[in-house]
Amino acid sequence: MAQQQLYEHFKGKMFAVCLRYANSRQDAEDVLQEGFVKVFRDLHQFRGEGSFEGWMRRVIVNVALQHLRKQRGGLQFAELENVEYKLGEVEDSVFEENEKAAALVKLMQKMPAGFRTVLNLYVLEEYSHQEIADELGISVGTSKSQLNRAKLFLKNLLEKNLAG
Amino acid sequence: MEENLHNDRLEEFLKRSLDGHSEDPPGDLWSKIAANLEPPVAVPTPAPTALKVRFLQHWWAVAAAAAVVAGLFIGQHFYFSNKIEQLSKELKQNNTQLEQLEQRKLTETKPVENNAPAEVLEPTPAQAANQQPSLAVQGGGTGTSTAQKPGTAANAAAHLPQAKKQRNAAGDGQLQMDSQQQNTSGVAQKQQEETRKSMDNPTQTESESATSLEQIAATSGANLEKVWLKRLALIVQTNLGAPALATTPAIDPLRNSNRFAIGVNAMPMVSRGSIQAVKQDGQGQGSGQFPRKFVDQNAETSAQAWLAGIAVEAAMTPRLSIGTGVNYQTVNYETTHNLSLRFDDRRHNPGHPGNEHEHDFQYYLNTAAGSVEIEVRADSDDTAQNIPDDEKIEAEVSTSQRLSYVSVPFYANYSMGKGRLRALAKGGIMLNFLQDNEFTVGTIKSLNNRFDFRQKEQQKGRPSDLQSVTVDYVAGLGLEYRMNKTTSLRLEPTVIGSLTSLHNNPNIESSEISAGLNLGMTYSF
Repeated sequence: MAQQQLYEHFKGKMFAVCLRYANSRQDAEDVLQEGFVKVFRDLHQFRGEGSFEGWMRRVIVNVALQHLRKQRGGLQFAELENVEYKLGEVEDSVFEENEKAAALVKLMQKMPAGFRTVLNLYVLEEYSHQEIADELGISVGTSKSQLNRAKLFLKNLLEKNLAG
Repeated sequence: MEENLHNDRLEEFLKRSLDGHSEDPPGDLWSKIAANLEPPVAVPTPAPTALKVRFLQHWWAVAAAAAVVAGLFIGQHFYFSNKIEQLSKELKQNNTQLEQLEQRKLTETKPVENNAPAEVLEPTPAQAANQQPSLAVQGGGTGTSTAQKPGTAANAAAHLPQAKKQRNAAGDGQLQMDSQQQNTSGVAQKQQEETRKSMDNPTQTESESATSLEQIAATSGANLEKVWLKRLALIVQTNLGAPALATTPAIDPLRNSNRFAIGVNAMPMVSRGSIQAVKQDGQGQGSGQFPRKFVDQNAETSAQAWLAGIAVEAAMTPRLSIGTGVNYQTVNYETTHNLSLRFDDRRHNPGHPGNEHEHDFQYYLNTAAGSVEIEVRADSDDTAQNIPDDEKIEAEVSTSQRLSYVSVPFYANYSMGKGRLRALAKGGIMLNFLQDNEFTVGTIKSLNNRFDFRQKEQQKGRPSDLQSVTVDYVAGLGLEYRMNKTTSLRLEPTVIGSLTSLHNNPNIESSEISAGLNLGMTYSF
């Protein structure tokens, strides 16, 4: 079955995407399930512009965002605080024991959904702040502040993880 | 600032760590996905003969267009054929009449000739004065001969060779210059005899001669002049005098024998159309766990369009030409859709109830160019439990849609009138080849106070059921200004209507008609 072959080929990469956005592994499975249903349903909309994997990833991300909005309380974005972000020197060696992406994804899942979402969209999907603002219905300023706070939060998580 | 942030070392670390990350989901996930996949949605695929079938559905319009073109050909042919036949009959009739007059005159002059005395008499001064203008008109040696005595009778007789000469010239297409001189001696003799007779009985002769002149002038002269002019026109028109008008170039001092023309044209247009949903709400195709509804709606759409291109025309007759060309046209539809949903139409997502105040609706929006699936979100002040399933949710959704085509017209052009400014009538068909389309959902305005449409999950869509080839009819009535022998300007109010549907979606019926002002310039060669 062609659909199953397509699923088998992309399931690993797409599940990794789902894990980054979801609050839990269970949620990621739900997003992946819903995402592939949407991919197969909307397959005719793929115009051949760009890679198919890129299009599929976009669909999965949209489903993930939709899923997050459906969570109780939806996506919560904290008000901007006077947070002075200083990442400091972060040596790669610090992460040697945590380089495995799976471990990093688990750490990201501990982040508030708003932080995680903006971080994912900005850093990994390479959205601009304007695009993030349009996508999530927030202001550009909020997007920037959420990104800064997300980085700080992740840095603290990483340091705690190392310390632990 | 953003570049600096993107270059952040933490970001680089994240990218490097997560790029290419792959992790297998649980093995049984596929079975869950497969369970949600229905058999392939019965999307109406266009049969190879879909265009043909739709074309046949509009057979009456196609037949009408063909009849207009055929009528122009046949009408033109019969019009000129009948005209030539009529003129030929008229000419023949006048020739017969002229022969009869000539015969009658000869009969009248014979007894005078037989009984006339041999002597020659000098005319009176009054008779000479009367004859002089006639002789001067005839010219040649006969009129100035001293043997020819001037007088009214001689004047009347002298018209006969001239009339015959003119008739022969009209009939044969060439002048018979020698005929008058050949008859000189005979005419002089007749004139001498008639002059002598007039001297014997001047009152009778003058009366008969005057009657003959009046008859010639009244019964033949005026008509003949008219007939000769017409015939002369036909001779020039057909070059050889043969009734081959249908294949000869136009008698047009501004166009001469130009048979072909090339031109450029541009036309701004406005369109009106209607969209009628054949399939009603609740009968839509669904896939997975999300039902999609066909919205029960009839919408009006308006569009602004423009068309520009080049054309080539070939003259079939002086007035009729056929043409084709290549145009590029873009149509921008602006449509306001009135949604009529029920609360129960919302998307149910078992296991993920989500925010109780948010409700997603997925449905097919019927557009002029087909069915587009869109998704909107409605917020309610009440919880879902407080809203009955049959609560109506109405909203206005504005959409814009841009379609681009390369069009090839086939038309006939009929010119009416003479001179520089002429009327034009045009009719034909146009094949449109779809090049591009873009669909965008604009604003969503809620008409229900309990709900507010605030977000759209899918702002852009792309109808997948557009016809790649459509057929329009084209009709126009305008003016042509011929600047010189080769260059013309055209101004044609034009109507374009669809003979085939823009889409192959059986759930929607849409039609449209466009009106525009075609501006063109042609060069004839």
